[in-house]
Amino acid sequence: MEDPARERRFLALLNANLPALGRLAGSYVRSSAEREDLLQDIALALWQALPRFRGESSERTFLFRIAHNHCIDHITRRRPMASLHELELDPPDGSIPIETRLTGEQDSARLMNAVRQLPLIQRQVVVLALEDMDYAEIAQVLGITENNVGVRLNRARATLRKLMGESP
Amino acid sequence: MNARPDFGALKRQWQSAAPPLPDVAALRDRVSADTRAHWRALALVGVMTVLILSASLIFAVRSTDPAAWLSFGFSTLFATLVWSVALWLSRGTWRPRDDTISAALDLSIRRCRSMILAAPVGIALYVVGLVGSLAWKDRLVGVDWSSVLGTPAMIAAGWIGAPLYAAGMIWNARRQRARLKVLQELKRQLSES
Repeated sequence: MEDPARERRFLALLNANLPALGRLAGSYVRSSAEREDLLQDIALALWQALPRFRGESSERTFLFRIAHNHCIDHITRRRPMASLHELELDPPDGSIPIETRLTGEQDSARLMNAVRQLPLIQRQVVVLALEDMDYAEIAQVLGITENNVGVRLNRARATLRKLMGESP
Repeated sequence: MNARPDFGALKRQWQSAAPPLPDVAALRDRVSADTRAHWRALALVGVMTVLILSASLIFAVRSTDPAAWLSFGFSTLFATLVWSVALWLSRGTWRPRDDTISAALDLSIRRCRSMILAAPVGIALYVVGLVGSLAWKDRLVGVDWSSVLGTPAMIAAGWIGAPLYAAGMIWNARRQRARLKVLQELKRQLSES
């Protein structure tokens, strides 16, 4: 890496968002090895794309756009999805609200599993919303309107509730 | 406009889910999987070598033609050359020095370098093998080398096999080069932190 400024920018952006990128990749692939490959692809794509960043959006939005494109590219090229059986959740207890039930690491894994089962267009929106992005940022990342973000997010929340076993 | 305020609990749960360096931590799994694949590939090549040399030896024992023994000698020499080169390329890539992330990272980097170097070396050995078999036919068996070029074996191993092998090796080397770049960045990050 010959350009020290580019390198500093790259490392700062990557370090600041590595946990979020890990969760994003984890919502598309299940195995840690595959997630590692995907993260490395994203890091490389960021390094290559960074000189083209002109500040039209925030760097974080820019990074997530690259990451999302790579995730989509990755899942369209990989082998067919793991069987539904593999992705099935434990029998849910519908009487308790999600927010109350979700405590501890095991529930984090359940949430991740539920997000993985969402249809792609809903998963994209939910993952970004869970990363604290607002409608405008999500719209920029995905190239859709803010209204569309709202519609997709509402549907995604309903699907997520069903997957987590809470009645709508 | 925030993406639904009642998402708060889910957000907290979601954001606490990933380890700080998920890709680095996953390296151990990757290294273990690579090691298993490495040993399986080695066993396969070992079995193939034994089969080829055994066939060549049986042919030489049964044949009255002294060239059959020369063929066995050359096959053994070539197999020794290939194995020597392969073991030289694999030096330091067998297992991590300990169970740390840093050791797993170092091992992954060495494996990438080894596979990058394996591309030109492997292609060169393949060509040497093909040219050697042509020369053997021409000089020792007395079959004109140009007449061998159209045989089914040469079409499969030379005209089709060689470009396929070369393309595969080059593709893998490019993939490993990209991976190496990222691994080196991760190593730098780790050493800085």
